[in-house]
Formats: sequence, C-alpha cells, structure tokens
Amino acid sequence: MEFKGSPRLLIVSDLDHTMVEHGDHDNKSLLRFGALWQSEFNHDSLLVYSTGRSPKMFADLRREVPLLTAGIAILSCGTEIFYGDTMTKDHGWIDIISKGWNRAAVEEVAEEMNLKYQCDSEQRPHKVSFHVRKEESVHTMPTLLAKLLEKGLDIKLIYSGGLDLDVLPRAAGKGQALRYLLQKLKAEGRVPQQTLVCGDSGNDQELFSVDNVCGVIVANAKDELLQWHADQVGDKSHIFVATENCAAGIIEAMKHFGLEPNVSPRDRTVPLSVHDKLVPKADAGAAAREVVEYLLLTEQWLRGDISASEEVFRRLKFGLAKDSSRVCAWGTIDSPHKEIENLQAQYGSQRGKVFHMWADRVRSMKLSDDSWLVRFDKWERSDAGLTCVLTSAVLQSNVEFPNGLCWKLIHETWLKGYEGSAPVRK
Amino acid sequence: MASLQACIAVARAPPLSHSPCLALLARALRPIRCTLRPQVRFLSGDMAMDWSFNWTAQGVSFRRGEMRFRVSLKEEASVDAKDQRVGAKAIPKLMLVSDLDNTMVDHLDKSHTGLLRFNNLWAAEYAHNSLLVFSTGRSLEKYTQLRTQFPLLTPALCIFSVGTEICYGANMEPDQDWVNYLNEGWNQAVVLEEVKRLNLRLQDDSEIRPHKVSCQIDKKDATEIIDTLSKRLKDRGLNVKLIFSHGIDLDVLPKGAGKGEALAFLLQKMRREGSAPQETLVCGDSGNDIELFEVEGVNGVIVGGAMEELRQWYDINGKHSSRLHLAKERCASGIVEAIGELSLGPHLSPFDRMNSNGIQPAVKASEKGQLTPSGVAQREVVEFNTFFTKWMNGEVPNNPESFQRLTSVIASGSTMVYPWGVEQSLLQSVTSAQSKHGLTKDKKIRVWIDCIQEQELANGVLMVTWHSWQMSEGWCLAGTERKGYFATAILREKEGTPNGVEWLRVHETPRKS
Repeated sequence: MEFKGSPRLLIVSDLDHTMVEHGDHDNKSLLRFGALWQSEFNHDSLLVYSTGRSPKMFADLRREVPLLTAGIAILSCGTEIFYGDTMTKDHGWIDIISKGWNRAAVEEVAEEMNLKYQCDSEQRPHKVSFHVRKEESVHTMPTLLAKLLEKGLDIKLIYSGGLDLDVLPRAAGKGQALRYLLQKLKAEGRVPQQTLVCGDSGNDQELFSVDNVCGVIVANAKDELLQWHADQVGDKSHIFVATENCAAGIIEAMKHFGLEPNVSPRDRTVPLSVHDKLVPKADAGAAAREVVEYLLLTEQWLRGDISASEEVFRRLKFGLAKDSSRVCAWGTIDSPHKEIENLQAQYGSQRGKVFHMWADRVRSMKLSDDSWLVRFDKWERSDAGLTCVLTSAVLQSNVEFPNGLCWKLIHETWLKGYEGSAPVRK
Repeated sequence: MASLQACIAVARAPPLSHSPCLALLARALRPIRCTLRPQVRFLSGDMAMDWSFNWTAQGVSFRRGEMRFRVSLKEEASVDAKDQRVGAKAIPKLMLVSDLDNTMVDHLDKSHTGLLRFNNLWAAEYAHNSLLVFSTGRSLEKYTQLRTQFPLLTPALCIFSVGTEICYGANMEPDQDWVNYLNEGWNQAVVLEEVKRLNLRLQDDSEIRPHKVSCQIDKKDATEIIDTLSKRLKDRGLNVKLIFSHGIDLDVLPKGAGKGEALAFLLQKMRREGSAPQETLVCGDSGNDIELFEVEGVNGVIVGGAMEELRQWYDINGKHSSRLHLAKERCASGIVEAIGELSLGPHLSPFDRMNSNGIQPAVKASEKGQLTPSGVAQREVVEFNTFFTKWMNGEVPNNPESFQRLTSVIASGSTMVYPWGVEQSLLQSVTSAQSKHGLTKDKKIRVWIDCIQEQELANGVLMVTWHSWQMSEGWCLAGTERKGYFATAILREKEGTPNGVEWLRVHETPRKS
C-alpha cells in the first residue's frame, strides 16, 4: 500500500451496481466520486474494492469504466486479496481459507447434481460458481449444502442476483476478508479513523455486519439486501439507505455521515476558474487538488461544458509557469505555456461526443516549502479509444493561483497497453 | 490591411539604443495597426540586441532600401534570451571549439570509443558550465548526415562551411551579423564564373554555399591554381581568400571568413556581452584548422593522426607554446588527453574511471579546487548511467560492494517510469539488475548523454533533464538501431553518497524518431 499511515477514511465498496452504474454510459457519478477521492482522499485514505468479480473480470471492468485504482482489491467474493498497484497477492489469507476446503470435492458434487457452471474466468482456486435459476434455488441450495457438508467440507453458499451461486470456504467471503484486513491494519497500528462500506446485493450483507463500520445501501440495491436491512432489529443507524444510485449514493452517504470533504470538484457550484480566497501557502492537499481541477477544467473546455470565457482560459494558461516545459508522451518537448494556445482553439471540439479525462493514483511529494512533485495517471476516453499517460509533474508555489501552485514541469509516458498518438496539428 | 509582417534590421547604422528605436517604431506604426508575432531584432554593426514586445495590433510590412522592419508583438515586454546571445549561461569555464572529421570524429573507429569517452566526460564535468562548439568544413546538410552516423553531442553553436556560417542552438539559427559582415567584398556569382573559367571541378551542390565556393584540384597544380585564381578575383574587385586542405579541397571564401575569423568574431561578441569564456580550447587535424590555433589567447590540440600540413605548421610555429599540445591519441581521445595535459579541467570521465579494475572516485572539489558545487547532480546522472551500463556489459568487476554504488544512492520510496510505460520502485528494479551482470557482454550497449541541464528547485533539491541515446555495438550508418529518450530526474542532497545526492524520481519517454 502506497500510503503508510493510519487511513483517515476507509471505504470498502462493491463494484457492479454499487460503485459502477452500468446504465450510465457517461459514468457521471463514478467520475464525480473519482474526482473527489483523488483530490481530497488519495493521500491519506484507503479505497478498497470488494467484488464477486474474478481478476480477469476486474481487469475488464477497469477498461470499460473510469474506475480508480484501489489500494486493496478483494476479488472473487472475498477469496482473493490483492494489494497496491502491483496487485500483490495475500498468501496469509489463502492459508486461512484453505482449511476445510477441497475444490475437487465440490466439483464432484456439482457433477452429481448436474449444476451449470459459470464461465472459466469465474472459477477460481477458492471459488466455484454456478448459474441457478431463482425457482430452482429454493431446492438446489439446501441439497448442495448438505452434500458438501457430508463430504466434510467447511463451506458456505452465496446466492445473488437471482442467478449466481458461489461456493466458498466458510472462512472466506466479503465480510471475513474485511475483518481480516481490519485486523491486519490494527496489528500494524493503522486503524482507520472512519470506515464506510457500500453495497447493493446479497453478497454484500456480510460487509454491514462488521463491527464499527458505517454502511450505505445504494438506492438501486437489490430486494434481497433491502429485505435483509428491513429485517434487522435493534439500532441500525449505522446503515444509510441512499436515495441516489451507485457512486452518487456513496457521496450522499458521506454527506449523511459527515465524512468530509464531500463535495466533488465536479459538483462545485462556484466555477473552478474563480477562487474565493487566496491560498497563502500550498499545503499537502493542494497539489492533488490542482491536478484534478486542471484536468477537469481541460475536459470541460474541450466538451464545451463551460463558458468559453477569457477568464477560464486565463486560469488554464497562467497556471503554467512561463518557463514550463513538457516532455510529451509521443516523444517531443514543448512549452506548455505556448502550446496552450492550441487548446484554446479546440474549445467545444468534443461536444456531443464520448469524452472524459480523469486523474488516477494522484500522489504528491513535498520537495520543499515551495515545490511539489506530483505523480499521477492521466486517463482519457474519447472516440479514439482509451489512453493513459503516466505523468510526473513539478509544481511550484505561486500565491496568485487557485491552489497556490503553478506547473513547472510535466513529463509523460504512455502507459503500456494504453498508448495513444500524437495530436494532429493543422 | 491583412496581417502582414513588419521587419526591422538596421544593417550598418550607428548603434541604436532602446528608446530611440522604440520611438521610431511607434512613429512608424502609428498610422497602421500592427499585429502578429515575429522577432524584434535591432542589429547594428557588430552589435545585436534582441527585444520582444508583446501587444496585439495589426501588422504591416514595408521596405525602405536596405532596411526591413520586423516587429514582434506579444503581451508583455520580455527579453528573448535564447537566440543571438552566444553565452546564455554565466561566464563559461571552457569553450571547446572542435573540427569534426578526423578531429572529434574518427572515421576509422567503428566502436566510437573515443567519441563516447569524450561525450561522457563532457556530460559529467563540463555541460553545466562550459560551451561546446563544432567548427567544420561541412555544410549544414552534410553535418546533419554525419550526426546520423556518429554519436555526436548537441553543440551550443555550430560553425559551418569553413567558418562562413555561424548557427545557434538546436534550431540552427544563423547569425545575421556574420552574414552582413561577409557580404563585403564578396560576390558568389563572380567567384563561380572565375572557377569555371579555369575549368576547376566543383564539389557537390551542398558544398556550394552563399559564402563559400568549393572545388577539387590536383595537389601538383595547387600552387599555380591558387595564384592565378587569387589574382583574377582580385582583379574583379573581390576580397577573398583561398584555402587548400586535405591535399585536394580548395575553398574560396570572403577574406573575412574562415574558422579562425569566425572564432575571433564570436569571442569578441562574447566579450561585449560579458560572457567570454575563461579558457578556450581549439581542436583540429588539418590545414583549414590552422587559423583556429592562431586566434589570440586560445589553447590548442592537434589530435593524433593529424594531417601533414598541420604537423608541419606545428613544427615551425607551435612546438614551443605551452598552450599547444600535440596529442598521441587519435581524435576525440586526443582532445581528452589535451584537456588533461593543458590542465583545463577534469579529464577522467566516469567512462574511464570505471573499468575492470573497479571504480576510481572522481577528483573531489576540495582536492583540486576545479569542480564547482553545481554540476554534482549532472555528474551523478552520468556516473549512474555509466556504471549501470558497464555492469550489464560485464565491464566492471562483479562484486556486490561495487554494485552498492547504485543502490546506496536511491532514496526509499523512489520510483521510475520506464519508457515502455511501466512504473516501478527504483530500488527494486535496480536491485534486480544485480544478477544481470554481463548480460549484454556479447553485444555491448553504448549509452551517451546529451543536453544535460540542472536546475535547483529548492534548497538541496535538484531537477535534471537530459536526452539519452542508446545503441548496441556495431551500430553504424543510418542509425536505425539507435534509440533516444528524454529523461527527467529529481535528486536531493544526501551526505555520504559519492556525489552528495540521492535519487527521488526518474521519468523517461522514448524520443519521437
């Protein structure tokens, strides 16, 4: 994990239909959440995904939607834990969930009962997955459970979405994996100040049962989870049922529970180009904010979402130091202060098209009181496809600007597998 | 009036100062509305002052006799520092002026060892405070060709076509002053006529330049031809000089031209700007380099393998000078040798200090007082790269203690973005190279570093940018196997490290080919 201290906020979220809204091709709320997280939380908080998806399906999802890089990914219904950018596997977890598990035995019983397997990528070392229709499940599940227990296995069944049946070791599961992680953090002296869990369906139940967490059930949640919530007795004020869908619901929950800041740069009512107070000195978060805001403003300019005013353009141009230089991903060197003229001419060029830019993995390092090194990934989805640029930037203090910083150096390299091409200049 | 350009270049007027010029400009521009953004240059005699003014209006172009007005308009006044000022930095410690063919460039050495050694020394010890100048008989075109065949550094300036063209920086902007000066007593058409009359064989088109006409003659006829041609051109009212070199080439140039004159002109210009170098070293191997050695106050090296005509000159004129060195080593190695023999600065490059005997440390500043405090980051960059490459080539001993040289200078948590699009922990990736000692020993990699620059971001924090080039041994014409990268690194002061700095971040991007 990049960040080594005690997380100010730990968010553990399911992906499909919780963080990710599949019906929205613009991915509006996901981008709103992403901008909020990168500008305000990435430097001292921890984002954890907890999903039924297998590693392959997880990678696929990241190519489809603007999903942030998480600090920890709990995949395959809590049977696989991966850390950091390098996706290092947690072997301690494997040892724990291997007790009372025998994959071969599960397959035997499945054969006997003639169960229908899900596709190959969903079959994992500690997870066997089937498709079982709703009406059959009432009968199938108890039978399956009995047979497996007979074989001496210590397993559990999770049924969700009215179709998916997962067979897992009993020690595994989203809730258990989360408890294991929290214990680990505690042992390292890194107990999170606040924890928020987010879900929408059956296999998320366990998340809400973990001690000392707040939870949000998104507005579009499945019946099985809403029902479960309704059935809970006692004090359930730690669980909030959102009125908004998916990531928008998560932001809503942050407001509800007073987790701050909770206004995404994408939601600010005051335009980014206007700053309401002079920042005396850039602080730890300023560099991250500047990166997110600058990218956002650029996106808004190209989409024509913002007025084509001199004021806005000034903010873009003069945020770049006059002697700034940039090594472009396509292998040339230019001066951003001069090249910005090209951007000016492109106002609204992406109007009506699929076009988004967002920052991921924004990490800033203080070099001195007046200068910062920021590393981030700049993603762009457009008609031309999905591209990403690994970026190093040096920002220097300049009190005249919104976040007290101006850009001095930008160095870019295409991320392997997501290369784009040089822009065509007239 | 559509958007035209207005140009000002006062070629031979008395020196103009800022205010009268502006007044003149304002008067001229008042009736019209001017815009656009060309360059403002007020050139006066030998003096060049460059000013850029920024405001938007609408432009016009007009000519008056020999005066052209060109006005640059932006939004605020600024002095454009990068074009015609010779010494952009503070006073250069050393200005090294070298011929190319058979001086810097050894056409017989396919391994380019001498040149790489020079490049390595220059980047590590001189790039931050000295000026590199190439002075060649080649034209711009042939020079560009040479660059694709040999690992040449990017010079601060280039003097082409036997001192008839002076060009600055990466864009090769010509010195207009020099052009105007050479125009006196010269007429290219007339020279071509006379050369034709004598039935002399002209060289290729690329070697016929505005202020140079080159032909090829037989050695045995040389004296006679030179005498006749000189006389004829004098009769026609021109003021020229003829230079015979390499036993075959005859160049006809304006009298004021020549490698030596161009160098003298440059030095004069620099003196006026207050940026004259502390020391100058000229390097040559043939007849047309003699003038370089004769410029006042310079040091000189005649490289090993130099031509007869230059050796003869040395025997007669140069033998007793303490500022002149006749090198034993060929070409660029000879230049490095001379830097040492003439005590012009450090002469042991990281390339030479790291070999099968291990790593010799650089000479410390306190010992010799020659090294300036700045430039340590640059030396670190070159040393690190050199050691890493030599490790992979198996050219340094395979012992863990010396590998520590690399790992000990990497700050914890530092990362690197590789040009193939992957970001990794710098410590991890360097450590993983330890087991790869000698991996490329059968096809050694050669790396050189160009355009290295350092900037202090804050106390003790330095940002270094450079261009690196990589090739495998056996690389030759067309340079198709040569790969270039743009790099940026952030380093920070740390005690106890070889150069007093540690690495925080490196980022590389492949250069567009």
